[in-house]
Amino acid sequence: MLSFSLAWKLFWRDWKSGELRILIFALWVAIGGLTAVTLLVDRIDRGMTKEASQVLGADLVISGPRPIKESIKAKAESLGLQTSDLLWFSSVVVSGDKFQLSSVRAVDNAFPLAGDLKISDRPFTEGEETKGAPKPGTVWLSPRLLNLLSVEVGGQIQLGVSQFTVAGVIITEPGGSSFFNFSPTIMMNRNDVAATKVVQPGSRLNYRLALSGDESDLKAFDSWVGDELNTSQRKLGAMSGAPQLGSALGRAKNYLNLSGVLGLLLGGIAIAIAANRYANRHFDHSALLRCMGLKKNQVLTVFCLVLLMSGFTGALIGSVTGYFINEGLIVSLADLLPEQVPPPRTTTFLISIVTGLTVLIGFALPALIRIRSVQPMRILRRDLEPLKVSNWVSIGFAIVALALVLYWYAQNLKLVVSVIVGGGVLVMLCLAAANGLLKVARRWSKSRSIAVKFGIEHLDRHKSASLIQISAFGLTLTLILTILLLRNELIEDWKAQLPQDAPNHFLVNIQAEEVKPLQTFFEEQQIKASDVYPMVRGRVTQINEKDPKEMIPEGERGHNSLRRELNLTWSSEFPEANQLIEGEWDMGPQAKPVISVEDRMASALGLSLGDSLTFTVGSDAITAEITSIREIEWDSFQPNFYVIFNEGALDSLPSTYITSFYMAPEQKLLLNDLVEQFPTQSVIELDVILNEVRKVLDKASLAVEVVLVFVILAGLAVLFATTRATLDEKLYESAILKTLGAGRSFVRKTTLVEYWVLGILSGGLAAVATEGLAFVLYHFIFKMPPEFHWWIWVGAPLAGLLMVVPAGSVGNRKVLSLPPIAVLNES
Amino acid sequence: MLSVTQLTKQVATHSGELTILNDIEFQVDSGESVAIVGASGSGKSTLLSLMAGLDAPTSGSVILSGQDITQLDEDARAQFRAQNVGFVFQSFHLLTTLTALENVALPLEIKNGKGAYDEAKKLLERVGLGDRVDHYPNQMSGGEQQRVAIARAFAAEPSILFADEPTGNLDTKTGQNIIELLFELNQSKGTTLVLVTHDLKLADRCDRQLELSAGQLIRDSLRDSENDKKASEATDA
Repeated sequence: MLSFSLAWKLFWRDWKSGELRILIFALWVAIGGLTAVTLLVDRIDRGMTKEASQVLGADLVISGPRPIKESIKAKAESLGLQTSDLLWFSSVVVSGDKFQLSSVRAVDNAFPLAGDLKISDRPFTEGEETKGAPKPGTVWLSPRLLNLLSVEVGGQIQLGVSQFTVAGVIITEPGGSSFFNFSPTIMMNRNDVAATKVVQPGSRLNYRLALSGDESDLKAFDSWVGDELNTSQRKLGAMSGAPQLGSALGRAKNYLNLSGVLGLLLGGIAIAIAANRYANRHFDHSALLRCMGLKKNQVLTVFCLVLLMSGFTGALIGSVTGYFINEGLIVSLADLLPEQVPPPRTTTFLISIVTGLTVLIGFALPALIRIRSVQPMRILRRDLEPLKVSNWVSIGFAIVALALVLYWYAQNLKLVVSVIVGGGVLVMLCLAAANGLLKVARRWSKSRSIAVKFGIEHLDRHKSASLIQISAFGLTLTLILTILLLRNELIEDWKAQLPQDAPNHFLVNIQAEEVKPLQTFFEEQQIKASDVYPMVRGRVTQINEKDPKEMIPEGERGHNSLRRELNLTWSSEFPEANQLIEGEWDMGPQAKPVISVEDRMASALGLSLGDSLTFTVGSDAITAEITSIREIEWDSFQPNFYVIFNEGALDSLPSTYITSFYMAPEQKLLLNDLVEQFPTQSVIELDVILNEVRKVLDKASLAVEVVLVFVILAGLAVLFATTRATLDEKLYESAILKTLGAGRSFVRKTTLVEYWVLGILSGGLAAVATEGLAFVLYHFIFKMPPEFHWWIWVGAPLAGLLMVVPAGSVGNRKVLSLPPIAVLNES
Repeated sequence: MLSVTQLTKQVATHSGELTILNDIEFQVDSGESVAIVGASGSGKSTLLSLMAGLDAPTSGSVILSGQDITQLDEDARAQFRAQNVGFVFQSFHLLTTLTALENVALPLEIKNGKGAYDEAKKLLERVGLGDRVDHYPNQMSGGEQQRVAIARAFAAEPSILFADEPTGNLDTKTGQNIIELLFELNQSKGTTLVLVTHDLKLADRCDRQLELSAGQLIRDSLRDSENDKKASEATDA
């Protein structure tokens, strides 16, 4: 109790006198930034998942070729989840003399659980929001099917042995277009299926149980259902409906979380420095308390309590600030965000606070442990310094705290180990480089004025403090520059990846004789289209003329290329959005067919240059040697192919063509003309998904900028902490200098020289470290090709000067203003 | 009250062992006031720290209120100090973050905690600072700070009070006032007082003086006067 009340008094007074200001400021900024970021990421993430679920038509779908067990449905219902029973299959739809293989969606009245279902009486119009299945005896048709069957709303079609009336046109449907689903859609009532008699033993069916509900219920269901599914059944999460969204969002989340943690790390550095100063200034207090009879551990308890009180204060104001910033962001981003942003979760606050306190303890405790070892004798002999805590202990504490926090956020042990080992090497290199640079500066200063010489000698004499300062400033600058750099690259990368006129529609099933007229159509309508690729569907049946089953172990046969037919093409032109990794691109007409393979497929199947693949296309088999390996940007929205043959290699096989094109929203009605003119072609509309992706990227860019502000603030905290840390010593030395007759201008000059040198050295260090760190991050985390940045080598030392010199001058202005006697009396 | 036997303190230096105190031996009675004098570096402060249990000797013993404190470990010595020992220092050593009242109440709180503030207030009134209880050390003069320190030293009613140059940082007049206050309280509370000083006036106020030189006890005024007494008795005889 005494410890608590004493700690409270010490805390309260130190708070008022400003002793704890930097410590709390560092915590405030670090936790505020982290809270704002994690809240934002979490809320946008959940919001986006919700929005993505609109694309899927539910939060979760269980899909498989056999009916879904009743026990699964019962469990879902007992958890309070909404369910919708769907059956998808292919069947021929007949109208008069027209036949068309179609995708049948038999839906119940709960459909859709999420997303928009819009039905109209005319194709490509706005449509009306609808819920539930078509009335029994009626169906809804996609515009393409309407066109292919030459039927209109009110007309009749036949499916199996049943007749149906066409009651509407499907304008938008959730869970809609999958790229490989080329046949047009027809939607019917689930209860009408049996009467059609199309479902027979052996029919290829897709039973789907769509689920929707609260996050926690869904989570509970999700973890329960895993063991209940058989091998043919799959779970589809919201993101599986829009993988591009997933990857863009994933990268943005990685970046935001990384920035949040780096901000926290900067906060940690500031905390370590501030705590060290706090402890140093309280050695006398500790000695006195020991004289009065407090035991070692009691003294430690008192100061730990002060630390925790500071921690909670920082954490509290930090999380409140974080909350308001996050709210502000949500309001200002309202038109970009999903309509319903889920409320913040208490756990997110708790996590930020616990993270902040972990960092506080890890970075500040080693300094406080010294307070415990202060001898009571110090009260009579002030020169008695407490035992130094081994640097290894301090570093160990910090590393453990850092590892815990990193692991919590990244959930990736390999990443944590590489960041810590990499960071450790970086710090060692920083210290060694700083030491070398200091030596060079010292040599250089020999022939300079006395003020310059004195300033640099001062840095050299207090070498360990100087090295810590250079490394701390350097590291701060490194982190800020890295985040700035990644932000630019990420945003540029996103923009380049998704230009405004990125293709948003795919056109498939184009017949050879339609290619020319189609290109004319695009030209006339001023529609920007990508190249037209021929396409043949074929299955990989042999690798190096052996069964793939012999070549690849069972557990590794998951790649798409072994499970289903691939779209094969041929071209002599190197495709857009591809990059040649190995081999040569020589794809003109050749005696024997050759192929170029996508890199991930090549590594999944263990393929290298010179290997051969055999494809079965219909009743034909064709074997080709691999002459090149390509990397593909899958989210480029261009037609992309795992396998490309040389020109002419597949000429003898029946093929169709594929292309993608950009169509502005106001041109949308042109689709009617297109479908009318080329009735056998299939249009796949990706504009909805694409808009979602673009929205996410816009949001992410803004959030990225907000995070940067926090990281810079955390950097400032480090800066102030470091300049404050040397204040006492500077005051004392300058008081002696002034007493010996040195003028203010001399003292000012020596101080400025120190900060100039510190600024330039730490900036130089930051340039090297940033380039190194960026290389690692690009390569391993963001999977982008690394680049050299010349501006960093000029910008970093300049930024070092601009940060350190003003901050140092302001932080230590007392050095000039305080009369020497005041300082000497105090010490 | 206090018994120092064959007390020796050596420290390791670059040039070998350095003896700071060598075989010191004396006793102090309860209620007695003793001044330890000597030149700078003679070992006065080290002797004070060993007697108060702030440091451990190389050999010898210090028996304080019947307890050999050299046999205690660091934490047990701390507990012993809390119950038995008070301090006054040259540079006051007040906790700058606490008010005068809180500073004086602190040892009471450490000892038992009950009625600490009432007792502290009374003591501050006694040292003439009844109207400054809520002031912080940096709002007070040196003399006032030392008064607070004296009030604090007597707060826990220690059986023995150690003072290290209590007037060293004060001007003559203020120093004189502090001496008066110290002795007044010492007498009224019946505390044993051991102080280290250069100030001859202050040393003269004490019942007894011990003089150190190069770590040796070279003069004990009590022994001298006893010897004088014996000599004069012998002469008389």
